[in-house]
Amino acid sequence: MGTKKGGFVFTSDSKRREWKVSGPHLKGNEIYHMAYDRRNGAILASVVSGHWGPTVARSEDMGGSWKESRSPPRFPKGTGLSVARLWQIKPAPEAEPGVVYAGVEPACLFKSKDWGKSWEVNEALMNHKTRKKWQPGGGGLCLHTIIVSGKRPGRMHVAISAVGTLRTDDDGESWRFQNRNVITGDQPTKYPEYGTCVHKLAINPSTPDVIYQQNHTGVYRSDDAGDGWIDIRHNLPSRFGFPVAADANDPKRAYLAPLEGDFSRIPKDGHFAVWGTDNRGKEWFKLDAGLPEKSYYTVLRDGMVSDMEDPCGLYFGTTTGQLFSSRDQGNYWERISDCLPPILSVNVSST
Amino acid sequence: MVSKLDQSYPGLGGRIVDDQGKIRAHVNVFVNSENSRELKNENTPLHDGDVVHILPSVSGG
Repeated sequence: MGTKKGGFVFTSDSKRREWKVSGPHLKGNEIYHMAYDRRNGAILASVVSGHWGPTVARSEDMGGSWKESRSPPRFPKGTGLSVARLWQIKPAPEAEPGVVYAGVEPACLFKSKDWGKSWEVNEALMNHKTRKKWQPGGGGLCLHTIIVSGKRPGRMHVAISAVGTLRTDDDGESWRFQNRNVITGDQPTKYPEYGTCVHKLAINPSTPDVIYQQNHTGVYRSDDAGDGWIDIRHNLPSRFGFPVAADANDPKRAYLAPLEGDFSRIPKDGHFAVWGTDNRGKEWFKLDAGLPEKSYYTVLRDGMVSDMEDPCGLYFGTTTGQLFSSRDQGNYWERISDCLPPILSVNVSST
Repeated sequence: MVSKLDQSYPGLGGRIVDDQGKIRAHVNVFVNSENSRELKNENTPLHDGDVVHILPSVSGG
């Protein structure tokens, strides 16, 4: 878990009832994202110091000790670009040993071939012909989501706020926009090629062509690897929110945390709830058993995640320091902690 | 100076200057007690005997 004051590691057995916590690791730093690399048991962390800038830190003992990268993601001199922070760290699948991806602000992708020790910029994205027209979202021009399932070699999806979704099929040599049928709320062109504000994407790894998207202006599903998007807002209380998570076992299930709207960004009626679907978004139901009746929780785009257990577990962390978990697809929630620093991201993995 | 520091301590350079070589916004580099921002920033020339301090800004409230 990444917070404004350091990283925390929660561990449990497969029952997911009792949790041990360690941290704050790298204390005092903003830890925007943490990822566990199952290939080698390392934890990678995006570290942002208010003074010394961003870097990547790596632990090989579950957070006991950390080493900062000697060659973190950096844009080449002369580009005028400078990494402000890493928004996402994504270890590649087993078939790509040593490879780790990072999404940064200002939006770009970096790739490491040595387990996160050194990084190279993706030049195709850095030099994209439309880049000069990219506008940032409220949180910055960030590449916040990386999807690489490993099922189709060379394929990857990335999401950039507020540019949209892109896909490569040639291992990053070229990228094309995938925003067809995604509406914008405030631009003259309602369905532009790019300029849509995607907040988060999620997939079930067994069906990588099915992608769920929480956008600024709505909720979508693609059944064709992002070539087109279907509006699945239906009976949701609002079209606005940030995180989305996919069920690990049932590709028809996904989960959201809707907010009242972009004008207020608070839970509707002061009642935070997770909403789920079990039919690909045709219908949504509230999942709030165990959650406070009254709460103005804010869950950031990386603040909610699903695990790979059966039944699927869900976790969300709030900017007011609460961490909740559900062992049963959101049917009941338990609070793991109520006293953490503002939570920037939650990630989960089995070891 | 920064690049030589980075050679001796890999990764240190990027903590002082950003990707384009500009001193980070909340870092101050003093040359003989003068703030480099009052001189020529990262292009301030150094001479034998100069004393350089690299400090995080004390700011923010």
